Amino acid sequence: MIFLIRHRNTATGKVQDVKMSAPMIALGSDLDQHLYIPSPHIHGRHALIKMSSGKASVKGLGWNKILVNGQAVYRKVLQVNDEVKLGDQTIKVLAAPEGFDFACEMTLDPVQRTTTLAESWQREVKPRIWTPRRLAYFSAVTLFVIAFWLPYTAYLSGSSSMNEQPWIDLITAIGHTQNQSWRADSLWSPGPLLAAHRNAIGNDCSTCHTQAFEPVSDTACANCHSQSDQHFDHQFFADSALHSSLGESGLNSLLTPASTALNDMGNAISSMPRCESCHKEHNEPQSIIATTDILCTQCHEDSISGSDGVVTQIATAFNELEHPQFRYSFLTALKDIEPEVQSPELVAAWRRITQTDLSIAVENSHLKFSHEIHLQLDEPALDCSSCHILDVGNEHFVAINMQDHCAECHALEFNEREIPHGDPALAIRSIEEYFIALYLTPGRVNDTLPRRLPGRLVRRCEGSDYECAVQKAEQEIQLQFGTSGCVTCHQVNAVENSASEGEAGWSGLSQSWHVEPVRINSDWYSNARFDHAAHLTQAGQSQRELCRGCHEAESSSLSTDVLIPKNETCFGCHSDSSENDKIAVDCVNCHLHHTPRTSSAMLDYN
Amino acid sequence: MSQNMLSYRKSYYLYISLALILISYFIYRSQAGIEGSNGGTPQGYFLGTLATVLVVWLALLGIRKRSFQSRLGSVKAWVSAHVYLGSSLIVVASFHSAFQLGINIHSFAFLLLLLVIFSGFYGVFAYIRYPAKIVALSDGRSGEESLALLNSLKEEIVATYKDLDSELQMTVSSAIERTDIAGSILDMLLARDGSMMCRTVVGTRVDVVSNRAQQPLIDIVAQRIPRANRATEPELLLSLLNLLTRRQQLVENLRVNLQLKARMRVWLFIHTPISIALLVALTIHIVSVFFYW
Repeated sequence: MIFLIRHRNTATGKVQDVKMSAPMIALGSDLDQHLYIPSPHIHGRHALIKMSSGKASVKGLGWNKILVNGQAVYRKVLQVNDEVKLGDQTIKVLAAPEGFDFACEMTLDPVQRTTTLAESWQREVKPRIWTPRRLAYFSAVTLFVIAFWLPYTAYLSGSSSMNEQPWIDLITAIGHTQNQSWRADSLWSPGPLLAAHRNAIGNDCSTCHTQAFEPVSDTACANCHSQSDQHFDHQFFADSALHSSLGESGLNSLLTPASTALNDMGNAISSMPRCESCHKEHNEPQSIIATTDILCTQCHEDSISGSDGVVTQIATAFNELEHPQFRYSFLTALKDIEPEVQSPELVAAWRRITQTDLSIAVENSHLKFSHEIHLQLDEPALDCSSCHILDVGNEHFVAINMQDHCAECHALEFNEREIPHGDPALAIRSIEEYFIALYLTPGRVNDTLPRRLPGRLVRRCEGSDYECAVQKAEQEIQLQFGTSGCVTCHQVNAVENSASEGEAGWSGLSQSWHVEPVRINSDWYSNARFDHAAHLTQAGQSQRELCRGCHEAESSSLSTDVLIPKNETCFGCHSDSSENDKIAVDCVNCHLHHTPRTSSAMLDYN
Repeated sequence: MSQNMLSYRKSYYLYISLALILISYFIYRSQAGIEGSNGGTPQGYFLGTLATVLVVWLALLGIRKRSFQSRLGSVKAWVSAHVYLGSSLIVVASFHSAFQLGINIHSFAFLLLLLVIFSGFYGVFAYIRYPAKIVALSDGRSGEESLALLNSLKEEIVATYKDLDSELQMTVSSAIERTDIAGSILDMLLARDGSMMCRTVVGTRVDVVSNRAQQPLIDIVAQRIPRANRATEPELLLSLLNLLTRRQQLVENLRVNLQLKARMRVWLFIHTPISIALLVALTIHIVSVFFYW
């Protein structure tokens, strides 16, 4: 399309013709338009003039209407002398000269053209729609809707009490749509939920946050944790009231078994902490178990007298100055400390007691044993692990017993006959039975007579075969229990005034000796925990060397020696901080949380 | 030397801010409870309250600026304190959050806070740097004086080219008419020149082509000088070239001038709306924390 544009200067009357060639003529306020119309009322690309079937027509772009001869139209076929008005600009259609498809005349107003630059100069960063004020309103409203209203609807949809309100139906309908994988009130979550909680309750905040503007209640915790073991000495802390510093109100449901606690909720002890006092959620790093020492030291900065009379000493840190001496936990036969007990059950019972002075600590297990002798043997060469096998949990060792740990070397035999271990009466009967059978078997008595030694007489039994058998058995029992057998390892006492006749026709020898029952203490720090496996990993040291680092077994000749390390041993490597190349430990690395001190926990029946 | 918002009263508020940061640090480090460092500890609440009070006070600058009768300190003092105390908020708010961030309204409020502060940093830079550059560019003239000069140059150009051929007249007059110093907001910010002109491309056919920085037009006139037909034409062309070059420099200065002015203003399009959004986010943050206590 070849077209002629005639510019007529209204001031000078001068005419200038411009010949252009393009598929169509573009009109607008953009500078690249064929017909540039500098007007704020005209769009950058406002209209087009194009030829179709030899006729020129004008067409507004988008919703733009064009005035043609005073008539507003979207599209119109142009005739000669038609006047197209765009803003203040008038375009008159001329008869196209020879060689042109279209011709028009534009009037140029020099004054108007001059003001264009002046207008540009006055231009500021001032958007037509998104002014700062509107942006502020928009962002504020958007934020309110997304970050407050939607989460609030999610809360309402999760709150059973609110669901009863009929007016809330619409809101809950919106809230329910958020129930699946994501809920809007998760935007209010201040931090990640513990994985265990997230898996259990998903995104339902109202599981724990049952009441708005109220801290998470213990009841909410107990709803799921009703079967949790109690891990808090209710009586002890109720009496000491020391945990008032941890919380202001509410009864911790876990102070007692949860179901009981729920019933007692009305009788809340104001000084008790809440679950949330110690178990913090939405925190980073994620941990529902508080391990920081402050939880312990804020109470243990003073000595504490518990309801059971045990005084807990001051402990504010794990170092020589701020941590009290360890205290062994002993198993002691109840009759040794309470001679007045008469009940057979209590006479046989052992009690765990605390030894505060470690320098005089001796173990009274009723066993005779020398670590020194055993560790000096060449054949068989024994090591610590020959007898001490780490049990599940890596803290304690499998209990020592005769069959598994001693019998291989210390077989209980006489005349190639094994004596049963563990039941003195049975052992005595076994010996007695042997001799009775021997003596009452015809033709075999002489075989059993000892060979006469030169110059000595063979003493013969003058009584009946049975009496001789019993007499012989008594000699052997005396030998086994009183001289070289059981008494080697056990505390054995002869029973005076034992019955002359035993049960079912037995001789009564079975009641003539008493072997003190053996209880080897396996838990010296019963309120502490220790990982042997973690301490047996030092490179370049044999296992015996590693064990010897803490346990002085090689120089221990008595079973009363206590080989359990004291504070100093631990302080050699550990401290409450990692300074001076020490390995830092928290209180809970070694200490169990306060466990209930019930009678069953304190008495350990045989 | 005149005082700017940073050097006001020998940077008095800088030291206030540094003290505030130091105090916040010790408060943050004092968190040793069972929760460790967290926005929910007593220290965390204190830092949060401090940050909230600061945010609200910083937002009040918008009101103070418009309160000409106010006796609550000079606007200069307010602006200086606004800059320094606002900067300290990065640290105070970080300590309050204990650097625990996630996809939630709390972290979003923190993000908005950072956006406001860093857009403010740009504002401070612009207000300190650009006025001097604008003065240097305008060569002692006001904007109106520059426009008047531009107009007189145009008249001189028109008077010069009227004796030249019509094709050149059409090109020069269209270039003058289609000179652009400020197109869209983005054009202003980038000092992008959308100037165009009508130029004969083939034979007598004319097209609309770019005249960026007025250089194509100057090139056309310069190329015409060796091909001048008449004796007076070279002189006219040289004179026209001289005028167009002066105009080119003036237009460029105006464009850069507008760019700097736009840059001094555009940061407020982020700073102000996001400040309002921040106030809303902060309110939701506080309410939601206690809603789901």
